[in-house]
Amino acid sequence: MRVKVQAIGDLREYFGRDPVEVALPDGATVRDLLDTLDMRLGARLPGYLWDRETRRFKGPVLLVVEKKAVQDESASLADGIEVRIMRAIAGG
Amino acid sequence: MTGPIKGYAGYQLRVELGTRVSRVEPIDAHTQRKFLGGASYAAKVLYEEMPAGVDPLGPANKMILATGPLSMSNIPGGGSIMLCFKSPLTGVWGESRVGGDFGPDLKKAGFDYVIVEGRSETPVWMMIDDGVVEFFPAEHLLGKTVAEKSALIREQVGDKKLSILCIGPAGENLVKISAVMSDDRAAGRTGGGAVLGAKNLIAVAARGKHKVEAAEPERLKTILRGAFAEIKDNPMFVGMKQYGTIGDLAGNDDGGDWPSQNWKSNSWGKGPELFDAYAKNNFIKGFGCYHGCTMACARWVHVADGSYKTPEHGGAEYESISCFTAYLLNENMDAAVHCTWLCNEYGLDTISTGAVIAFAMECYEKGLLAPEQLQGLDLTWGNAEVLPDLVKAIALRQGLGDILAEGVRRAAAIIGNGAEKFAVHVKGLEGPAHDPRSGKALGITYATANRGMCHIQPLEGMAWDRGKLDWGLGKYGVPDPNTVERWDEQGKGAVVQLLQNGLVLPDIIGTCKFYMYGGITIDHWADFISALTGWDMDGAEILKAGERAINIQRLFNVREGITARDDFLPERVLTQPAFGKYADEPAVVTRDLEGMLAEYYAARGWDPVTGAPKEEKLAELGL
Ligand code: SF4
Repeated sequence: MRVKVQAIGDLREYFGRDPVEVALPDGATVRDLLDTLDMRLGARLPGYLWDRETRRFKGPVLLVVEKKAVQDESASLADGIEVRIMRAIAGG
Repeated sequence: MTGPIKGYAGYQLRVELGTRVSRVEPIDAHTQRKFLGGASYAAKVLYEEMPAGVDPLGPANKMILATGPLSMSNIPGGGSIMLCFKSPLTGVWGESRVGGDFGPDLKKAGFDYVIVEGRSETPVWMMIDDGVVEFFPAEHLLGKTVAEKSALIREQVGDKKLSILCIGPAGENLVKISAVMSDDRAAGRTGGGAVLGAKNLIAVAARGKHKVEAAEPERLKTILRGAFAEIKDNPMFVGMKQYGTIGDLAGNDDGGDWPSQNWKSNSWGKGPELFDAYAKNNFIKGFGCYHGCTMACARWVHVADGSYKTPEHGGAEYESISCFTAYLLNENMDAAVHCTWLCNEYGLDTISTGAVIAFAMECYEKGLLAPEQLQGLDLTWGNAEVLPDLVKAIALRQGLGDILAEGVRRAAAIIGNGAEKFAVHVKGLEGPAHDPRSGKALGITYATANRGMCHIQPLEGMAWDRGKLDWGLGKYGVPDPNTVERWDEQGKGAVVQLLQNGLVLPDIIGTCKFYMYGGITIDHWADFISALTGWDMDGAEILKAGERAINIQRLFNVREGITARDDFLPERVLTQPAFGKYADEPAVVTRDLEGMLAEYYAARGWDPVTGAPKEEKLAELGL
């Protein structure tokens, strides 16, 4: 299966302006996607953004599917969906 | 009228401090539907009742405590109240919001608004208890910290949960950057603490059993349940709950949205390690600042030991911490947490206090401070040790603190020798911790916000341009932010006026703005208000009320002498960053502020020279 990964805002500086297509085995989970992102991009993501040990985002950066933050790493992903990477910016 | 209008307590309390006479006045449905409440209704009252040129620290200034129809603890973000007045810091429109339970409790006490007039001969505190007003002597509270004052008042009344607004020593000393506190939460900006201090009103407490009646209670319950369910997985909601506002530290530094060393740069590079230090050493837990907040972005923090030992308290907000770290090149997070706590306890605005200290450090660097002004203080950039004493000196107006207590604009005038070149403010209000060199829309919001260079109204410029949020305003004409390049300038003036009209709403309907970031749209607000009041309002109508609020505040400012020339950005902000990630990135610098503002005035219907709303616009808004 394939999912599209699209970074939002200035995170595109690290993930690219256009969506990245990621191939995953059928039935892949959020954890599988994070592992794949680590393999493909982990080395060039800044330390404050990405924890290479746990292969997770650091700070308020979230994976978003259909406008909802995905917090359960064991959740399955569906073929063809778009996963957004978004920074929670409020800062007041 | 057969009783209070639905959805409101239905009355305003007018208090004359000199005579201690208070009057209960009914509010009418027509006016409330037009202005809604908060900083909008308060602007109407101040504009109509107060002449131009009033001394902000004289008895003729009025302090309005203004809830909105949604200031209720069952509403998303409803723990909220606005304080509105003529600002002693800026000389123009002054307003400040504070979270906590005071807003909902004022309604329970029977009032939507309190209009405080005159001046008490002696220090007093005021109790609003289920519709009854009582004054108590407050001499014994003078000089005490906010926590001490609040504890003494609660002890006197025998009510541990009493909601209190009070000033600290800074407000008593008429410090122009003083706050009004509600325990750990601050109505920080534009010097409200000094307004109350000048009135000799040291604290106000409210409680009661009054119930606001909804026009359609069942419908309200249903739509509230739906809204809470809808937002709980919203990424912003989740991010704010997990990390609080301070979670933005590292990302904003990286994104060029972190003013550093008194705005010499828009990034510093120390954000990640400072955030890690805070997470490891200072953070205890998140909490909601009023009973009912599910987003709970507030942080419970401390410094366990060492020279900056600080008790557990609610604090360490993004703005406060940024102004005590990056602004000053201070790498000691414990010192920053300690100083922001000191600001709260002494009743100082954390943002303006950090900003005036940054300004002082630059004066020191440039050799502009005389030895008698310095009195041995070492104001070298990053010297954390000097900070606690300096914070106290500002609150107590001692030594250099007496000059800094005036805010950067006046302090620069006193110090002279070109200091005004690096006094970063708009309309006299010190800049906060977001930098228009991260996205151009923010510059327009900073230049034009009615209270000056504040961290509330301008936020949306930053969050649309860089954060790519649109708050559901797409259907009202706001372009999809994902189609917009943050460094571009063209077209943003027109967008900003729409963003302002929409994002001013929380401050007039009585809610916390972060819920709009967390997924509550103006259509939700309109639904809530309709079910509460029975008015059948839609998003477009409340958006119009937002526009009306901005315009009446602008009229207030124009009458005080504000023109388009006061809508500017400080030179520093228009300069290439001197260091950091963006030092070699020319795109960050605003090229054509005038052009952006021309677009803005055209979209607003304001005269580009006088800056005043045109007659047609006023007629359209019924002003
Ligand atoms: S979201 Fe944060 S600021 Fe807003 S009401 Fe809740 S705790 Fe207070």
